[in-house]
Amino acid sequence: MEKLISRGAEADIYLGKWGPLDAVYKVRIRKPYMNEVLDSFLRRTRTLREAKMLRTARAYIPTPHVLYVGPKSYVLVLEYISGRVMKDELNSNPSLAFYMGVYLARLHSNGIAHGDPNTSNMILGASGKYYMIDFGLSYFTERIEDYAVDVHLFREILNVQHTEVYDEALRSFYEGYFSESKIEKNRMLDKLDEIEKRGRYSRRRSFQF
Amino acid sequence: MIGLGIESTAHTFGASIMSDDGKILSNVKDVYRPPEGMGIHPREASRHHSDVAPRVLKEALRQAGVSYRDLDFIAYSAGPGLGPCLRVGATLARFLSAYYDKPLVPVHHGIGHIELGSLLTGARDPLVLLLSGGHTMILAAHMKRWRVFGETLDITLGQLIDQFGRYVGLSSPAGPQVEALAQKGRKFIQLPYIVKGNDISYSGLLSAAKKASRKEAVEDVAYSLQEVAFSMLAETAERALALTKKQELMVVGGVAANKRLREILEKVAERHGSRLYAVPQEYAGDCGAQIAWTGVLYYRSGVKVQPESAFIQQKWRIDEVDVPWRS
Ligand SMILES: Nc1ncnc2c1ncn2[C@@H]1O[C@H](COP(=O)(O)OP(=O)(O)OP(=O)(O)O)[C@@H](O)[C@H]1O
Ligand SMILES: [Mg+2]
Repeated sequence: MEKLISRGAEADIYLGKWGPLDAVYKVRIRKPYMNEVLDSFLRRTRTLREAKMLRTARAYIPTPHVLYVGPKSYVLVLEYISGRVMKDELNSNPSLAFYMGVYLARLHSNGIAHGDPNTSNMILGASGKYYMIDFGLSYFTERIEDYAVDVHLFREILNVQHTEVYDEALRSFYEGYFSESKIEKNRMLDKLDEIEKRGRYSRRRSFQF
Repeated sequence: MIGLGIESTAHTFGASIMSDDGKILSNVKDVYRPPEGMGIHPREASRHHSDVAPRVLKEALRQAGVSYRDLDFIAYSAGPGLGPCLRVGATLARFLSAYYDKPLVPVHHGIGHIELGSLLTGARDPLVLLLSGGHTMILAAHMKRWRVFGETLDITLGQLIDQFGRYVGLSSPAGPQVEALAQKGRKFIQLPYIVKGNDISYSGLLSAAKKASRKEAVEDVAYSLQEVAFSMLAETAERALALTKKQELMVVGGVAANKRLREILEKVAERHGSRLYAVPQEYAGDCGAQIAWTGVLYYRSGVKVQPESAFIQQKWRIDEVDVPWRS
């Protein structure tokens, strides 16, 4: 392990070597504020889950190779993908959201929800291929509701981090998504509506009194 | 310039006079308490508000040493909230505005929490955790709106705590009592921890905690409930901090008064080279000052309505509201 390249919500990411290969070490470190039982439960299950889901998803979309899994040390060693994250590219080229749409649809068609489809979790590799990463929150599911939550999360990210290009990026995302999805467009959009209305201050219901 | 703010979205009827240099000249409130083990009843609460309103308003003016004629505007909480409660505050505000010929300023309750927090803590461009009865949201200002980074997919943190409290026989709002119970808890009970990206879901946690309270000590369940609920929130706050790199993490709303939560958020901020700005406890809960201060900001930006077009909105998303004074 050499250089810290990113500090996320759960993990520190180091750039290092695995034999002769460039590799990424994803280390889920102890949260000083968290109850210890909960903390180690989350670190263990997510390390295992991420390794398993990265491997499973490889059958459908490009993901980095898993080189090592350490459920006791909470470490994952992954193939290093050199390139740029979608987050840094999207504002100048919103049509790239198309690929996020395609990849999410492929995962969903195979019974997987990603759980955190933000634009930092997509790396445009030097080969010109997009890789999806960060599967710690992903899970197997057959429920359309869970797929819709993925789509909702992506919309949320577009709205806060890519506000300027929201409409165009969302259009491209849907184009990609519905070109591969087995779910009918109207059904998905209805489900999204339902989620976004649920139990919260959603629709405008203004009246004079 | 001075203005009056009237708050009446839920339990609290409040009135406050503030000046445009950010001084709180008065902040008076009276909180409706439903019978033990019961939730808020909108009509009962609104009756309470009508009963206490004259006294609360009079006291707010007296403490500030002003009369209605001295005011530059009258602001009220237009939503979101409970219809009957909102109507009490809005009707009063409309009447006062028409009678004394003062501009009327409708305010979104959640934005009130954020802007008062920003004034009192000095946070300038924070990532915001808005944790009130009706909101559990992570927000950041961008292009003149408060944009939602993450939120609950079902019930809010406030509702989680209140509904659990009610289930174990506490009176609502149950925040302080659940916190006191949790401090006595020792054993950690595993409860569902559900995070999806920047969003969270608390409904599974609520049912599991209710169930656990039937066979485990209530202190242990309260403790575990808080640990899990707060950790979920901390994780999404960390994710949003990692994405935005904001230097300020601000927490506002009633749940912000919880000491354990503040301790956790301190550490969250520290881990990401950020700093925690927590709203002072006495201004964490609903109050007139949040409305008065936001009224000042709107009034300065030229936003006001005619008394006859006063409105209330029981449902009103915070990211639909323009905030012209923000970047
Ligand atoms: N295999 C990889 N090759 C190159 N860079 C990577 C790789 N994995 C991660 N990164 C870089 O590190 C960043 C964070 O990685 P990742 O998304 O896996 O963790 P995280 O966001 O911290 O996780 P979480 O959101 O679950 O806390 C990525 O946005 C990317 O810039
Ligand atoms: Mg990530």
